[in-house]
Amino acid sequence: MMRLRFFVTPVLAALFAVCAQAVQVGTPAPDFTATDTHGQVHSLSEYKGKFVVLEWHNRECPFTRKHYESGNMQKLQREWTSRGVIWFTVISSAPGQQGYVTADEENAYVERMKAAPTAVLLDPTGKLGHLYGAKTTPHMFVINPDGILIYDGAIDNKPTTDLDDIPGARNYVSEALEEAMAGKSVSVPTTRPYGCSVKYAH
Amino acid sequence: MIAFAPATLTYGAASASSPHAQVDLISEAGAIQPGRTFQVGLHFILEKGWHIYWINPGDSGEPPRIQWQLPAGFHAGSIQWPAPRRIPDHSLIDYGYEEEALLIVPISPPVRLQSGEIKLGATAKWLVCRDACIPEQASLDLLLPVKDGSAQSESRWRHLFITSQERMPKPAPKRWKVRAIAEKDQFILEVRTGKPERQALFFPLEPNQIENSAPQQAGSYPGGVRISLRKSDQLVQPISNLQGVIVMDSGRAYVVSAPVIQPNSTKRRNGK
Repeated sequence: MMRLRFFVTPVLAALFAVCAQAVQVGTPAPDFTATDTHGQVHSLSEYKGKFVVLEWHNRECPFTRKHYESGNMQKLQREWTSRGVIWFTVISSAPGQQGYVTADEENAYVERMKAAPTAVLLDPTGKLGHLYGAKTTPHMFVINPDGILIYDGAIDNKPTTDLDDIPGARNYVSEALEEAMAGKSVSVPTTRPYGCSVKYAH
Repeated sequence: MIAFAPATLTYGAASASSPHAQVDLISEAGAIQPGRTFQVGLHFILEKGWHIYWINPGDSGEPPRIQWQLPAGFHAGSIQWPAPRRIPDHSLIDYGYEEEALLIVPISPPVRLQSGEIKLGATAKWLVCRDACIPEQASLDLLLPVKDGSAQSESRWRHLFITSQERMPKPAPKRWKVRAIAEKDQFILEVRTGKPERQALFFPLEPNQIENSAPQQAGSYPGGVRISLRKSDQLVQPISNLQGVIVMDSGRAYVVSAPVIQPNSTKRRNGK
């Protein structure tokens, strides 16, 4: 019986490897190198000792727009960067896909929306998105000062496009950061991200 | 940010057209009979290639919502959702509807009603997606006469309601035996119908139980069908029930609630 199982398992494992989880909460977040909209190159490993937030972004996605048109995302960016957090907005839309932007277009958008991330990383090949298994916009990741992934999932617990849902929502990113900064373990370390699909190259 | 669909009003139905959907609020009954629950439906006719979402939208999107503005004494039930389809969306899988869908809502009128006309108002909001997603909404007013007497009055949409009922998931027959065996990375959902079934698809009602984008492997076995479902990455606690809709090869859909058998539960039972 064991022998039979052993025979079957590698086939299934190979099948699932394609869609297997890219990163896992509680384990080291994979290092990456990416270029921001000002041409500056960032590596995750440079930011050891700091909390890092990754925010997957598509300005035209109604779920993203809910958080930007309400000012919610900018408020989070401002609050957490002022407390020493490195906040990367990441754009993984491929050229020709919704949400793809040039560096100049994105810089104008950041100014217009009064967004306040540390930097916006451009990922048109989807390399960073696939490395982290970013599924939706928004999809949020929080990495602690030891480089361990401590949160992977939705921005909050209201998976809608409705701006009215923001005030009563439970923000998982803020919760994770508050808890981790207080030396506590993160009570909700993973949730189902909600939003639009990330517009990777087909 | 929201596309408002302008509404037109005709007797017994209200229509709205948005860039990607035509939406009609229609009634199964041609008239309202006091105290007699009847069905109304939000009928979506979608532009080719575009889709709307099931109650569990899968990896992305959100389900349509309806806010009712009803006269005093009227009560609207919850939406009855037809069985969805798996809709690939980049590397994700969504659950929803393409082409058309009728979302049915039971309306219960009060026992006493004056004769005349009743206006049932609905504000519907939905997200319609292709590569991009667009939130749309419409306010629809359905006008229906009040009619006393026992003979049921049928509207011209009665047939659409009957065919749509066939797509509605039914409670699983009592003789079926359903269970889910928890393995390390997957659930084996066993549905014993009493005869071999070639194919079946499972749609989870809970968002964090299975990995939507993992292919479902269905296989016949003497008493029914087995489906292997990859566990969700978000599943950190063992679950006691796997709830969802199963669509059989015949196209018929059933609501199942499968008790989950944990790997060590048989051992424990043998030990005691």
